[in-house]
Amino acid sequence: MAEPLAAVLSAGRVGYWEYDLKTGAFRVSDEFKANWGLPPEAPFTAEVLRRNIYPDDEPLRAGMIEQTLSTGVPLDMEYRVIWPDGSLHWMNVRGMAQRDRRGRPTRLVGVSLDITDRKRAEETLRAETESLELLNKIGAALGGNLELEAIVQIVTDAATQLSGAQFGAFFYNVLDAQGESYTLYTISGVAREAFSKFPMPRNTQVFEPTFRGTAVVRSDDIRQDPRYGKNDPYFGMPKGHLPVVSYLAVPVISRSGAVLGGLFFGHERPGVFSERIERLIAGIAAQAAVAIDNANLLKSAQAELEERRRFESHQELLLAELNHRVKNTLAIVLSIATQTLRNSDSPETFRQGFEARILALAEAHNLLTDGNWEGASLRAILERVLQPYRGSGTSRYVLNGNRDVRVGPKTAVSLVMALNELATNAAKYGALSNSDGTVMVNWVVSDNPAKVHLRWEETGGPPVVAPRRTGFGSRLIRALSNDAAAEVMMDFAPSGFVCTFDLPLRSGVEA
Amino acid sequence: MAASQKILLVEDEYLIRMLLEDMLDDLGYSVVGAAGSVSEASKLATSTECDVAILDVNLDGQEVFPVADILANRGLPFVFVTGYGGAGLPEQYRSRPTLQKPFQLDELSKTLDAIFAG
Repeated sequence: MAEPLAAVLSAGRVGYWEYDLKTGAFRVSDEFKANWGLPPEAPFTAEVLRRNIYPDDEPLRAGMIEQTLSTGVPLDMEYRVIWPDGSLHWMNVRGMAQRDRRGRPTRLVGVSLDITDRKRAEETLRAETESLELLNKIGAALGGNLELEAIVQIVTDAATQLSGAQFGAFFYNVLDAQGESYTLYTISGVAREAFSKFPMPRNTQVFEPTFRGTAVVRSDDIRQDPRYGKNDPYFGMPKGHLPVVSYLAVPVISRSGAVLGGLFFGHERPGVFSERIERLIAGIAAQAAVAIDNANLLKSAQAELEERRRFESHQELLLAELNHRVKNTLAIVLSIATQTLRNSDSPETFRQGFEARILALAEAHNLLTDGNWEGASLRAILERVLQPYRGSGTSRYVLNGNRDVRVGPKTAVSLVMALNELATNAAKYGALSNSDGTVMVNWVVSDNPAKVHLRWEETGGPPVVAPRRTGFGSRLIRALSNDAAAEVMMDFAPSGFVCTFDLPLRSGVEA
Repeated sequence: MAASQKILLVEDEYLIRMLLEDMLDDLGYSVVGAAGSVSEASKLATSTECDVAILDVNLDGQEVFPVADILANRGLPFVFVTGYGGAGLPEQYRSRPTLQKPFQLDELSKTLDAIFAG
């Protein structure tokens, strides 16, 4: 090779090479050797080439040479070589075949150039572009998603891919219906079974910064970390755990400052997670936090709406029920007025009878309101009805039951109304009409079948005369028997009026 | 003339039932059956010979409509009595005559007259 040309090539750090197809010998410049990481004095042979080329690239190199020899197209290829110090370098090799007069190739000649820097720049650019694209994709996926389960899976998958980890996990906190916090997790890169046999990670020295949200933990070899292996019961990874050497853990923190969870990444090789990866994952963690915050907001908003809907429909139901009760009560009042009017011979008797019955109805409602409209106690009913006849000295009535029992709302109203009629009649014509008569009320609650037997007995009153026509009271009492499936018997014995009720009880406690 | 017309009465409040019985009596109708629950009323609705039924919509928390279905199948007319207003009725019964509680003798009389006139 001419001297000036050699100088030009050397100045351009361009290597020169010749290969003799007949002898298989190389003639190469010092720059070419430098491209291989070899000193000027080192020999360069086909053997050296095969030994130092990156094994994966050798088939490509051989193929390209074969193509140039057979077709005559100029040689232009890139391959990697391993320098004696173990570092990997990229080379661009160009050349052409020289042929004899009959066109048969005799030699290959060409130049070489170390393109490692360019390749690295390209690779970094591609990696950055990929990361950006992935980040964008995550952002879009998270932005459109308000389901917590979907969000955490997207985040775990994307972050694992982006970090270059063998496996990644996202441990995140959720609240149950009682407001208790518990932890769930998603896995990426390995089957869930790889972790499901282990207990949830605890606040060990390694995990604590993540679960408390205080710091990112990134280690080229977590086993060398001073915080590693300090805690019971495993002192490091539990037996059977996937081998973790490179370790990266980033907390996911809500706008409110609460720790939502942590992203964890592992690799069995050391030094996998660079500072750049840490920054990328921190970016994902921030996006994840926003998405989870939004999902939680939506969930609580939905829960509140649902609660309000329930409240409103309950309210509507209550209003309808109230309307029904008011209208029914008015109809009952109308009925009482009509009935009383039928049996009254003067405005004064109407007023008295009507007033007493409306007051009895009001008393029944009071009793039921006390019991939340679920029922009323039989003893309380009797006390209320007979209270006006308590008298100043000895009581004019005696209540005696084996035990108290609660009756349902309708039966309670019926009983109050019926007993009120009995008491009114007793006061007008019976035991309460003179100064020394007594009303005795005895009742027995029994279980099999569940029923209450009640006996109203008047003694000491004036001689009883059976009424000639059926009054409102008798009719009411008969209606009660109809209504509560009760058996009612009235006996106008001359010595004193007796009335017995047999009321069946529902489920042993209510009539 | 309404003198011999037979009425089936379904109302769970016995005081209101008494009122209705009296009103119907005054108007010259005869009450041939009275019930206060859906099960009891269903039995009567299936077997009782009547010309018209008066149905309280709410029977101790239960809706009377199964009874109305039986009567509708038999082709018998009926009148609803309700404290809820017309909104509480199912679609197929919206056009049926309805008495709002509390009601007057006059309204009851006109409603029944309309049924027997039609």
